[in-house]
Order: sequence, then structure tokens, then C-alpha cells
Amino acid sequence: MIGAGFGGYLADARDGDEYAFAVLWRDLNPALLRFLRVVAPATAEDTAAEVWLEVCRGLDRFRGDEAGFRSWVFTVARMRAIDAARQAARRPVRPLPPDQLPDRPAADDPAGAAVEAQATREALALIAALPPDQAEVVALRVIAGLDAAQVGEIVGKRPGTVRVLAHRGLRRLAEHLAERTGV
Amino acid sequence: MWPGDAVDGEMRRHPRTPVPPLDPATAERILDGTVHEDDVPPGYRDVVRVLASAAASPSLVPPVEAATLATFRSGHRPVDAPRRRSVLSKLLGAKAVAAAVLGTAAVGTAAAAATGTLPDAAQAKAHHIVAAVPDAKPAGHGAAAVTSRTRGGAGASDHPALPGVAGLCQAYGSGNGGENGNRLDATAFGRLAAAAGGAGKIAPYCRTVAASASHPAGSAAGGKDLSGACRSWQAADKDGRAPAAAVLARLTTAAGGADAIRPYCVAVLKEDKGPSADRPSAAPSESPRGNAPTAPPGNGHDQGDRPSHPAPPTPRG
Repeated sequence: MIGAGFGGYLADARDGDEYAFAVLWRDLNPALLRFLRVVAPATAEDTAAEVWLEVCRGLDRFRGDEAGFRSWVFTVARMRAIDAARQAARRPVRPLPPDQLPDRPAADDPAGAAVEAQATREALALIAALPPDQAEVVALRVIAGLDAAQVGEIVGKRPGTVRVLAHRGLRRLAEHLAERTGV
Repeated sequence: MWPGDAVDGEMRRHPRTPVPPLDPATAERILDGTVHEDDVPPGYRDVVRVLASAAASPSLVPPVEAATLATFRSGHRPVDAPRRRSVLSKLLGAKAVAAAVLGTAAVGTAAAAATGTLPDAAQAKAHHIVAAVPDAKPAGHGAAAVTSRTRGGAGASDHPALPGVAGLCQAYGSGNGGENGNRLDATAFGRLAAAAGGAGKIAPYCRTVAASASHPAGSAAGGKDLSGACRSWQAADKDGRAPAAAVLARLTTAAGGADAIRPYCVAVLKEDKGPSADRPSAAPSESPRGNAPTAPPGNGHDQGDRPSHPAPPTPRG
């Protein structure tokens, strides 16, 4: 979250200030990618690029605060992910999941980053293995940091339904983890 | 709703293991990330841990920033971009546009900015963003182009630097095989090229980044040594002799591999000689400064760093 400066960055980005746009991108893109790895694992990075392309196009028309911006970006992301999944169903290919590709050049602490990235990947894979409707709301709640009402608007469900789905997702996760650790 | 709904998730194939019930308030707090794993019912601690990992931003930031910024740039350039993009989108589709942007625009626009061929507004913005990128402050001779750009731009000190240049340099140096151009096809290096001020400038730029990191004041002397070593290597190469072992070792380290010495030395010597240098790898012939070998360097526009990649064509009509 950017916080108090968000409005300024948004206005500057709308005026074409690349630095301001980079701030928005850097703040939100990691969460966007993690969300897409849950709902569209095979095409997460491509889909993220499409999302930002659409955000660039629509930036002038967007009105709202930071929460609204996040909601909008994840709404776009969800639609693009559904498109990607449809396309994959129409023309089945077997793309290599990103976690099977070699990592990109590492940051300053490659070992730490690798452990961290591994934990994140495993966590995302666990969420992705939930039934899709549960995976989606859990990812939007936890990764995108949106509340039940915002998630409801994005997925077209009532907040109560979102809560039920998310709670079922947590239960399912707990069951699966208990199964795995043999408790 | 989801096309994949018919496919069974992994979890559905497992028999259910009973876990204690979860009250809605605790569930919401787990989802909000506002509860510690010690404060949840047994059986949900791992869930809290997993969700925390999923919510954590890995420090590994995917270096597609330059590409995204190029996309942004093309969407906000006032006059010519919208038409160019709509034509391109029709022809190629969004994904292909993104790919093309990754491959060319990031590097090309930085290159165009470096040679001063962008329109004024775009030039100012490009300088602004390029100035904002490096997080290590290169010092000394090899960094002249970089620092002059920083001075000419809107000021890197206005904003925090975008991190990761040193890491990218390291990755660039340790890459195996290929000319610099091949490596730059990887999206990872679009940003590095933007920071360096052009694809052909990455090697000397990274050298100054590394030098300023390890020897804050001593990189200028190192730069001279390397250009001497490069001349000696090129002379040996031209005559078909083996270069001196010390020269070879030194350049292999600096260039990041024996097969990277040639392009590395071209870049180093180009930088060293400034705008009047010979350019066997060819600056664009329509370059506005092609006939100005005596122009003084560092006057706000960058004279010496002609890119090895030509700038993208200006859209017409």
C-alpha cells in the first residue's frame, strides 16, 4: 500500500509521469502476480502484462482512491485471467508453469530470496489447489488485501457469500495441511 | 464461472482430515492477516503461516519494469503513440505488443533519449525516468554520461532510487555466451539498458557500478587500465595472436566471460574515445550528430553514448 501519497502519484501518472506510474506498478505488481499465480498459474506473467496494458489505457478514466485503484486492477486481472483460461480451454497447450522455469536474475540476497520465493510459491500452489471459487476469494482477500465487500464487487457475489467461500477455503487448507503433516 | 471448474483440484482427491471448527470472526482475522499463529485454534497455525507467505512480497522484484514503463510511455505520448499502438494492436494483439515493447521500446526509447532524438516532452520524461533508475552512484570517467544525464534530468534526488541495478549487473556479467544483444533480448535487461543509457553501454556502466561499490573514489584509474587492456586485446586479436595472459584474465573478469570481451571492449573504447571514436558497429547514419566529432561532451545531451541498437522508427502519417 502506498498510503497518503497515492493521490499525488495517481495524478502524476495520469499526467504522464513515468516515475509516478513506476511507483504504482512497484506497489501493486507483486500482489497482482501472486494473485494470477493462483487463478491462472500457467499464464500469470503474460496476463499481468495485459492487465498493465489495460491499466495504462484506462488510467485517464479512472477515478477513485487507492482501495478503488486496487479493486479496479484486480477486477481487470480477474477478467483477463478468465479470458486466458478460456483461451487455454479452446486451444489446449501445455505451457510450462513459471515455477518450473529458471528464476530471473537475483536481487542482492539470492539465497534469502530463493528461500522466500520458494515459500511463497508453495503457499500460492496450496491456495491454487483449492476449488477455484474458494481459491479466488482467498487470493483476493489475502494477496490483494481487499475486504469482503470489495471482493464481492469483483467476483459478482454478495459479501456474505464471499465470507462463506473464504471460510470454506481456510477449512479446506487446514484439512489439507493436517493431512500432509500427518497430524 | 471458471473454465477450469470441472477439473478436480488436488485437494479434492484426498480424504478429508477433520479439523476443529473455525468461528467467523477468527476466520476474518486470519484472512485480514491481523492474527498471530499462536492465537488461532490448533490446526490453523499452518494456514496462518501459508497465508502469510502468500501475502509476503518476495524481495525478488521481476525486472519487467522498463517494459511496463515503455507500455505506459506509449500510452501517454500525446501525439503519435495512440495511432501507432492501435495499428500495432490490431496487427499483433496485446501480448505481441507487450513482447515487442519488451524487446525494443525499452532499449530503443532509452537509446533515443540518450541521443536526444525524442520530442522535447518525451525527452524530458525519459531523462527523468532514466535518471531515477540507478541506485549505485557511479563515479569517475566511465560514468560521465550517466552523471551528466542525472544532472540534466529532473533530479534523481527528488525520488528514492529504484533498486536492483547492481544485481542486474552481476547477472549480466555472469551470463553465458552470446553477444550483448542476445542477452538484451531477455526482458530482465531492458531495465539495465535503460539505466545504462543504451544497450551498448551496459558493460561500461556495470563496470562503474561495480567500481563505485567497491572503490568509491578509484574507478577512473581502473577505467583507463581497462581501455589500455582492451587496446592490447584488440591488437592481438587483429594480428591473430593470443593476448597476454594478464590482459585476458583481467578482461574476462571485467566483461563477464571470454566471449564477451569483444563487445565489451568495443563499448569501453567507444566510451573512452568519446564522440569522435570509430564505430565499426555502426551508429545510425541519420544520426543528427554524426558529423560533429569535436562537440564537447556532457552539455546536457549525451554525446558519447551512441546506442548500438537503432532507435525505433518514428511513426509517420
